[in-house]
Amino acid sequence: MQLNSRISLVVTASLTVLGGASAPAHADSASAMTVPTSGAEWFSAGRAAIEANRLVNRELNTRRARNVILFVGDGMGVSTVTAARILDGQQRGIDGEWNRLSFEKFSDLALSVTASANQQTSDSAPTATAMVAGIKTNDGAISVDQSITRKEFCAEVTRAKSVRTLLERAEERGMSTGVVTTARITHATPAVNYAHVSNRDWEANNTIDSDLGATVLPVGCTKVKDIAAQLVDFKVGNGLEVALGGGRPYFEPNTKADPEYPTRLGRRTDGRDLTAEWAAKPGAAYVWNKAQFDAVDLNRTRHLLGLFEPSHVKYEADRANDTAGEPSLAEMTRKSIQLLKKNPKGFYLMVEGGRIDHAHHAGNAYRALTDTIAMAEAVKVAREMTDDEDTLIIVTADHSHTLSIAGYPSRGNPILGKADTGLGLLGVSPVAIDSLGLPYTTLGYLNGPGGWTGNGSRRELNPATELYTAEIPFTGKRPDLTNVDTTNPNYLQESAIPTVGAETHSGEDVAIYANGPKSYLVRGTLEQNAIYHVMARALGL
Amino acid sequence: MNSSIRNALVPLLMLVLVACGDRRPVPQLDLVQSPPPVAAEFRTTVEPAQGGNSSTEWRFWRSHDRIERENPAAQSGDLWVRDGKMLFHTRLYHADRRGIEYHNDDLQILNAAPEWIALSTLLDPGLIGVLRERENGWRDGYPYRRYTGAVEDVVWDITVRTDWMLPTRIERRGADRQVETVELLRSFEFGRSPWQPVDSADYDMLDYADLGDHERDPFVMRIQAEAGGGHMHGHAH
Repeated sequence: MQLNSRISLVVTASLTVLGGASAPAHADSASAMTVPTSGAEWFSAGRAAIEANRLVNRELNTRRARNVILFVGDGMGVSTVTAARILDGQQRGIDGEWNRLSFEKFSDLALSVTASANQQTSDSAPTATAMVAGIKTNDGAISVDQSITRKEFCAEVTRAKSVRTLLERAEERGMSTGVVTTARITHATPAVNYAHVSNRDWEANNTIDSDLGATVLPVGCTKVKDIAAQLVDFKVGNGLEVALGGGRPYFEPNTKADPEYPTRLGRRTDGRDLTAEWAAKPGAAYVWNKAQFDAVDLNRTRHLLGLFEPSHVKYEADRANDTAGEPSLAEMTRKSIQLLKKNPKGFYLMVEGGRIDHAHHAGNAYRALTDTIAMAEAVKVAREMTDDEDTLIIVTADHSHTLSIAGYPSRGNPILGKADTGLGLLGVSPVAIDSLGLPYTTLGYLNGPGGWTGNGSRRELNPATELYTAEIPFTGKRPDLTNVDTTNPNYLQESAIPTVGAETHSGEDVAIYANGPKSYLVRGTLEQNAIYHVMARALGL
Repeated sequence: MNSSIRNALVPLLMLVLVACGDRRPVPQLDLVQSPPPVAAEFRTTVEPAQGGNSSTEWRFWRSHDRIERENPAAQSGDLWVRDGKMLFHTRLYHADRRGIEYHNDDLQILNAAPEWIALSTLLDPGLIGVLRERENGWRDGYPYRRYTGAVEDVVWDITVRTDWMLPTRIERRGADRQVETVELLRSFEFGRSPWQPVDSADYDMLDYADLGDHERDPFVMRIQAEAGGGHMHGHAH
């Protein structure tokens, strides 16, 4: 392609997006995928992006939002977004570094400080509480303030320390509400919307009873309800319209066999069958597999509960192997919006890509990145189904992970591969080597299980069998990855520090991407609880 | 046949068979067939080259879709359940009345999703396939086959009771001259063992995927420090 025509394509694509009030800063038409190849082209592309932003900021969308959708990529730190962007592009055969995920084309961006009231590096409970209730609180706390103890069994004390959530305020206004996740629907991030409890682990009544033991509650106290019961017993407004995720046994008695895996029983010891209670409500439906989900009659259904796994929903990479079939996050998002949109007063919806976090904890970048890409697809669906003029969409993470993108790999080097030097001839770039003379991957974790067995020895993936070797006594050296296919979906990226049960969260800021009414309020470095206030302001609450 | 006559005849018959040399054909070891339900007790002994032997006795129960292993001394165990095409593994900590559950996708990530046949027979079909059958016959009234050979600097000597598809002895000599031996001590028809698995039905179960969110749970901190492995599985051999 001639230089001039390449410049023309880039500039044309950039100008194409100038018309919208919430035009993306990075052109998203197909022609804009042409990567600049000269200084002049980079200069033009950069100038066009700034021109687009200038016009966006001149026409702030100050309208009141009718709908708000909050996407939370659990553990989706900035390095995860960057690596997912590159993987997505490389999987689609385009330049990964030039690629942008759907939400990276949003008009506004800020950094979110994720420290909680008592943690420098937080868990998902206080961070999610910050986003949906507007306060910072302590570890493990589900929409209760920081003055509560971690195991407060008294319902009355819990009620006194509870903070109202955006979902509750939306219900009070008569809006429709929903929560969608690939984790258990009772997991911390979805739970903060509808539940108030001091301990995120109290997802079913059995764990409360187990922790309570023989302790007698003080006079005047009744026992706090578990998270699953709080979902089904939710009394604000007319109750949630949509709840989709995993976690069936938390809703079912310990005498009832799971419908998909009959060897497994429910967890509840109070005899309640919460799925049956939900389904018995007027206009309510309960589904647990893909076929039932697809068959939901939206004209007749006003309240939809879907629980597709005994625990978390499958990773996107493994979803096709599910026994009964389960919908993707994008499919759940689509169905939810179809149902919620029926209410002329608008809706509030939280969608969580909950398993990004789990894959990182396991030290498996492939599944973390493919679940990030799956959430980006859900964001795309949400934006297509709504109007930028009346729907605020925020995409963010609750916290980050220790994933890093290291070395000096060449542009276009496989993001899951080994770092290269870019110094080769005839298009072959030798792998980079460390001070021990060994190759290393571009992606790695500061801590976690990757490469370690926990007693100082290591395991290595055998490329012939795709199985890990027996333990290799610790020699002071890293594994030799020369013959290891690190792009294998089951490869665990190396960690520098062996925390072999699980890689940990990390405490750096995460990004907030926003588009729609009042999205311009997302700017600078914000405390995480400001996200709630942006959404509340947008809705006029 | 009443039981007193049977009790008298069976040892006599065994004696005759032994005296005459048991010429009955020895069943093939078919690691594709579903093995029969059994209960058994094994001893694993580790002899490092530098000395200092250690041994552990552990119990094993196998039914069609459920396998349990228990180490009474350590008060720990493993439960494997096959449900359709899904495999679930639970690592049990009896003293704490808690367990860590691994789902199919967790096991795949950890590369710890063994073939059901390997779990249920304690034998690696791939390994058996490359070893040489050194002898077969009948011993104490049951058929056996013995396999030996070296694979990747490890010398194996495995004897299998073929009717129950259960090893009676596995010996592994590594390049580091460490010898690990698994010996079958006792075996029973399923349900007839003098000991039964500890009932874990009301244990507090935690998902492996949730370990990272329990960074301050003293139980989680302890087992991670103790077990060490990226997946905290017990190993039979």
